Amino acid sequence: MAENALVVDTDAHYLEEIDNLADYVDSSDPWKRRLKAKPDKITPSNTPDHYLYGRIKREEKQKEMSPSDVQNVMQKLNVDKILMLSHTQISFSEIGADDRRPIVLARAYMEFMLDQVVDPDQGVYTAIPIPHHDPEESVELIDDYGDEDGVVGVCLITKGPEPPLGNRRYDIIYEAAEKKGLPVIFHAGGSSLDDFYIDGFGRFIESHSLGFLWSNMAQLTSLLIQGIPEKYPDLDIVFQESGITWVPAYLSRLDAEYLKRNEESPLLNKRPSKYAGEFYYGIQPLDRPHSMSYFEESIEAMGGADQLLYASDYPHWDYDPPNSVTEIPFLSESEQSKILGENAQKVFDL
Amino acid sequence: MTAESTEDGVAVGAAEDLNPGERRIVEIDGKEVGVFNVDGEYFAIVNRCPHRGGPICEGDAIDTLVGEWPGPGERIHEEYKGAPSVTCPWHGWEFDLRTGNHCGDDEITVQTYIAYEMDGIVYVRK
Repeated sequence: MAENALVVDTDAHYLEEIDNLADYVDSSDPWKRRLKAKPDKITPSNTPDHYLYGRIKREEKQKEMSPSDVQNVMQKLNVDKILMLSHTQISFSEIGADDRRPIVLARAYMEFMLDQVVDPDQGVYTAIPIPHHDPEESVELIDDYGDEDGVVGVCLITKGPEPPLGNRRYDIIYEAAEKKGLPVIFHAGGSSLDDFYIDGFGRFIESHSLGFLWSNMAQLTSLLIQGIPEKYPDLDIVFQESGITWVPAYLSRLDAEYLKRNEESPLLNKRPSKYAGEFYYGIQPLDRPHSMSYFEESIEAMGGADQLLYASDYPHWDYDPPNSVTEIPFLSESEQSKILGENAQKVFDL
Repeated sequence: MTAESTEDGVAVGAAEDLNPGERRIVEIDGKEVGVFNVDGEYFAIVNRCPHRGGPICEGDAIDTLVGEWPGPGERIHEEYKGAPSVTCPWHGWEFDLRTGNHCGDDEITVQTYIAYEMDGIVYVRK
């Protein structure tokens, strides 16, 4: 077991408070007052309670999260470095209205995090939350914050963007990220029972287990078929928070359709799975496959240990600790070390 | 029909009977082979799709679609101007007539032969 391995958590969440973000909004912006008022609803709600109505416990949710809590989280998880992503972005990406909320929240998040939380010397990093609603503003964010110490990527939430993220309107986001050498993180979303793709499911387990998968599948499909890896060959692509075992299963279907309709993806020079085999995948939430040989073959089919990243999703309800990697019996010590931290060091240039 | 073997290859038939845009399916060494005239250039490919065994050579023979990306934010420009291809009518697998490779994955190949015209006869070299 890779006991002394460097451990990098590539997907944890800072539970930023809206009124704290307000302090970082320009005083001439009406949204400063609106956010400071700590309104009941500012982004689409995410229902129902993810924490089994109090049975899943996180002390970080009992009180307002403070920057010093990050070191506590790192100690608790026993990780050396942590990539903190915006908690608010998961819901602001689902804003369908044409107003400035996502842009204001994204910029305020970056100012707040750089001022109070991000600290590369202590192993604390973040990624720029991209308000996909406005690609030009997104590029400005990347230009403004992409060179800051501790900013190691840009993050798009996979629920919300319509048209999906392979559409040409987002090209300039990928161009800006590639120029800055920042990986693009495609982070799952879309689990709300009351605002799911299909109305009428009865339980959160239905909308969450399906929704996170569905959102990432949709964007993976769009990116591949629209040729983003051919348009931006130096761009590192990372998928987060929908587990991993679905990837080879879905890609075999996509490959089969590609071979029947290859003229519909004219930028591709090889099967979609060959491109997707060069993407990186956060392991969380790691499923429990019925057979280890199936699990092992799944990992091999998606590019092997070189393409996987440890991710906790802490403090969210279904987080995975690092032993989720070290307890996988067929991984060698060197493969465990890659997944726990070495791959992340390379991809995020930590 | 079974093509006639000669020292120049297998004689498929008279060139005047295989005009541009036409194809003929012949049997060579027990295999069905499609011989195509594409704008005066001859191609020959085995008439069996490696996918499900479909009759490739009964499919449409057109130039491959080429996509060119003008730059960020632009639509991909599409034009049928690539290599000549034939598409299996069963499921759409498309093959480059020059190489026999699947147009989306060159690890999948169908056997091709050199085809040419000499003295008014179209031959396939085995």
